[in-house]
Amino acid sequence: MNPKNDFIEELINRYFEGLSSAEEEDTLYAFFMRENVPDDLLKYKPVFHYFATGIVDEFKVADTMQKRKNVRRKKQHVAWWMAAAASILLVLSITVWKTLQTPDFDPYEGSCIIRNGVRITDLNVIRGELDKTVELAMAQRKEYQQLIQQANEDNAYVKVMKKVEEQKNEIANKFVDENAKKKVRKILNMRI
Amino acid sequence: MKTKNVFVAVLLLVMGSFSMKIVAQENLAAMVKKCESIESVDMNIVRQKNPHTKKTESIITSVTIRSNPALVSEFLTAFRKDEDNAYQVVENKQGGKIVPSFCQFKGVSYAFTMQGEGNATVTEIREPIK
Repeated sequence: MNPKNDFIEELINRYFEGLSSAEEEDTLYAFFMRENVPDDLLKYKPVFHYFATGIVDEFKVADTMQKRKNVRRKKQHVAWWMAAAASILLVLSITVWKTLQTPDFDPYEGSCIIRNGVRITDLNVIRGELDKTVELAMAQRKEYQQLIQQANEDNAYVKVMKKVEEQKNEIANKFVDENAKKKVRKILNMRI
Repeated sequence: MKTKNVFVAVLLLVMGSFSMKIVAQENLAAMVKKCESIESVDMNIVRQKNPHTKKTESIITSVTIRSNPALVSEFLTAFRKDEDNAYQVVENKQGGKIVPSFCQFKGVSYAFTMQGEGNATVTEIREPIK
C-alpha cells in the first residue's frame, strides 16, 4: 500500500463527488501531469490531463474564436459604415453634378413653324428656321429704325439751316443801301 | 343717384380709353392670327425666353405669303387702317406702289416686304412692355 497513492485515490473520490477544494484539484492535476504515474492510477490520467489542459485549451480556443468573432464583427461594422458613406458620397456627387449641368431649358420653348397648315413644334427639327427668323427680323427692324433716325436727324438739320438763313436775312435787311446789303450778305455767306 | 351717374360716366371713359388702346394695331394682329389657318401661308412663330427668369422676352411671327394676291391686298388694307395709330411709319415703293413697309406701335412692330405679285412677307415683333 502506497500512502501517497491512497491520498491521491482519496482526492480522486472527493473530486468526482464534487467535494474537492481548488488546491486539492490542483494537486490532482499536477500529479497526473507527471510522466511516471502509478499503473493503478493510469486510467485516470487522460481524464485529469484533459481537465488540466483541455478545458483551458477549449477556453483558449473559445476565447480566440470570440476574439476573432469580435474582430470580424468590427470589420463588418467598419465595412458597413464605409459602404454607407460611399453611397451617400455617390448620391451627393450625382446631385452636385446634375445641379452644375446646364439646366434643361430651351429659350425657344413654345416656338413652332406652320407648313401647309401643319404645326411643327419639335425644336430639334425647327431650330435652324427659328434662328434664321430671329436674325432676319431683328436686322430688318434695325434697318428701319436707323432709317427713321437718319430722317429725323436730316429733318433737324434742315430746320436749323432754315433758321440760320432767316437770321442772315434779318441782319442784311437792316441796311437800307443796296450795295451795303450785298456786301453784308457776302460776308455772312463766307465760310470761316 | 347723381353720384352713381358720375361713377358710371367715369367708368365708361376709362373703358373707352382702354378699348382705344386695344384697337391700335388690331387689324394687323387679326390678319396675322388669320394666317395660322391658311394652308398656302408658311409661318414661323418664335418665342424668345430669358434663360434665367424663363420669361418671354419677345415673340416674332414671320408670315410668308405665296401666290395669294388677295391676302397680300388684305394685309395692305390692314396696314393702311392701323398706320395712323403707329408712332413710327416708313413707306416705300414696292411693286410700283407706295406701301407702308414698317409700322412701330407701343410694344409691337410690323414690317411688310413684297416679293412679286401675290408674294409677300410680314414680320410681327412683340416685346412685352416692362
